[in-house]
Amino acid sequence: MSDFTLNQVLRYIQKDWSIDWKNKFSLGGIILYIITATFIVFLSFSNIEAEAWNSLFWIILLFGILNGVVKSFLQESGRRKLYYFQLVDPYIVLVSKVIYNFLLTLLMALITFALLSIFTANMVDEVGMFLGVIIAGSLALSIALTFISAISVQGQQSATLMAILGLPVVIPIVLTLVKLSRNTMGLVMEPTYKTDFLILGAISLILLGLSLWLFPIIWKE
Amino acid sequence: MNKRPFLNSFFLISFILFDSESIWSQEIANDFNNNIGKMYVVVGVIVLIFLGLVYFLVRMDRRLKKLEKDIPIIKQ
Amino acid sequence: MKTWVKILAVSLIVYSFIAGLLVPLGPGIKKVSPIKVVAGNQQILDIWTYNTHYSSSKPTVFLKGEHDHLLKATSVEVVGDQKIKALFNFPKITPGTPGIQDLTLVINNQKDGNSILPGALFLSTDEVSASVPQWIPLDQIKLEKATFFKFPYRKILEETIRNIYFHVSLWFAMILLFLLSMIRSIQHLRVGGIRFDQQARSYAEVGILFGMMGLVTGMLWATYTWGAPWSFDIKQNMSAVALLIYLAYFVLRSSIDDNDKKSRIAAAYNIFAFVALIPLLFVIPRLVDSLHPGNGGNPALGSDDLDNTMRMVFYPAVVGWMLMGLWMANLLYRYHRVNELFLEKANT
Repeated sequence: MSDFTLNQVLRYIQKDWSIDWKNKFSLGGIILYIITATFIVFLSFSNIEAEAWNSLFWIILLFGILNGVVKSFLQESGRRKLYYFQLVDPYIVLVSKVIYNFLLTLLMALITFALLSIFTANMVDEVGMFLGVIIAGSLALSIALTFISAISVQGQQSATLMAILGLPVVIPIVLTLVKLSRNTMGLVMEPTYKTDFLILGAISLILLGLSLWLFPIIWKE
Repeated sequence: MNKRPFLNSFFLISFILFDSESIWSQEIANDFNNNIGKMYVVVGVIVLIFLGLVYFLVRMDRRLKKLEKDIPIIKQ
Repeated sequence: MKTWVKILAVSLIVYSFIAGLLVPLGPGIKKVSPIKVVAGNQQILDIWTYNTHYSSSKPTVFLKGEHDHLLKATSVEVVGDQKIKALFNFPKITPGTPGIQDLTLVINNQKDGNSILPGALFLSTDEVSASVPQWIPLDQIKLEKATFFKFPYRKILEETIRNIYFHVSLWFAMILLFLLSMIRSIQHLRVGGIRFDQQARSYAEVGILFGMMGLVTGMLWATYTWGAPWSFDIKQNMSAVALLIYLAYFVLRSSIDDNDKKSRIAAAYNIFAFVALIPLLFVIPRLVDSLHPGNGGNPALGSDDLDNTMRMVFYPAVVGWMLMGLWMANLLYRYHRVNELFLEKANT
């Protein structure tokens, strides 16, 4: 049984990927957005400091994710949604969307990190830890924003709604992430990885549980 | 269209009070200031809370007015 | 809503206003000059005080050093009710450790009791000894105690300490309202029925109003005590974010036309948002230094920022404002229900 569900999740992810791959505009658009944003940063800062580098990294990434995640339910409107609704369990939809968005976010984070390092400079002292922060952050952000995007497609202007609903909700996550990545740059005297990772994990777990509970209700609409 | 005139007056009054800081907190030797020990801040806070309650009343009033205006339609 | 709840709400708030404004502030020391003295010298200290009555009740002035030893002023000149000059003869030998010592200024009289200013003076001393005749141990000194209700005097805060009853209780009431709003949303999703959704909405509306009031009063208070309306204090920022979340809740409501769909989506967001708010309001502020009491070091509020006299006003005020919020939300809910019934009737 569990094998079967896993299979379904994988198939759903594959379907999402093939749709995104088919109209290359959506995926390419986000990556192009990241490249442009980092290039603007490069042009406007002649000599960037670690503190600014850190916050710019997360801001670019955050808006990239907002753009990327809002699409995840947008493409499933009208008849296609009805089709999936009858065919697939809502939990499978949610889990596969979260995993897909997680991979997408991770990809975007890595691209942003690489581009920012090439264009400006690599400010990170502990690269391994920084990658860990990126992975944990992508997970937390994708969980929170997947649910928000499911809500925001129900409204009229889903892109605007996504920003309004999503940004305040992810602020605690982003603050924790900024703090964590400051640790990896040696900007903090005493690193506090443990408590911060714990907070991040707790937030992600609670939000995931809530999403699993509330998503079937929204999916029905 | 100004939908929230009361909210604006909220800020207006608080800004007037903020601005008057320069007049109030000049020197410890100022006798009046020394005697009231920043009591005007307490007064300001109470006034602001009162204005918040008034804002609630005004909004309630408007909503009820709208409801009252529509009711004759049922009677017809 | 029961009538006695409304009466209780109003009487508690009226009580908190009357008691919170009428109970006088205790005596306190505003400023001392000079702040540096050297052992073995004579020194006249200028002392400015607050809420004291030295013309009618003569004060005695002490300096408290290490190991609870006190040095009494050799002569005190009363300049006014709130200003005195005290002459101290600092002996060459001081009890305690050599180097720079932190002295606490204690002024005592019959009418006002003790006024204490910790860290008032720095005494630099070379020679020390376990006992010096001029420095008397604390238990050998008789200090007058004043017995009347008063709020503690705090430097910088002064009379604005009364704002605790008005500003802080608004926040407590706001959190209760948001919590109730979330509970109603859960009930709406579990049991169904538009009633719960309307209640959730009313609670959130009044909660936002209380939050706004808390924010504006806090900004006013901060201007005069912390020096700026917005000091990027973690609690200030977090509560601003909380208001943003609930404003977004209403934006979401207005962007969906269908009533049933609106109520369910909004309820789901309400629950999600409240849970996302918990680390914001209760976890993160505890890990970061804050100007607010109970977190990092704050010169304005000491360890006992809420003493027993204050508790007697503060808790009733909190309960009063909570009940007041419930009443206001109840009014809003009744309006929404009548409006809904009316619209239904008009459509059929």
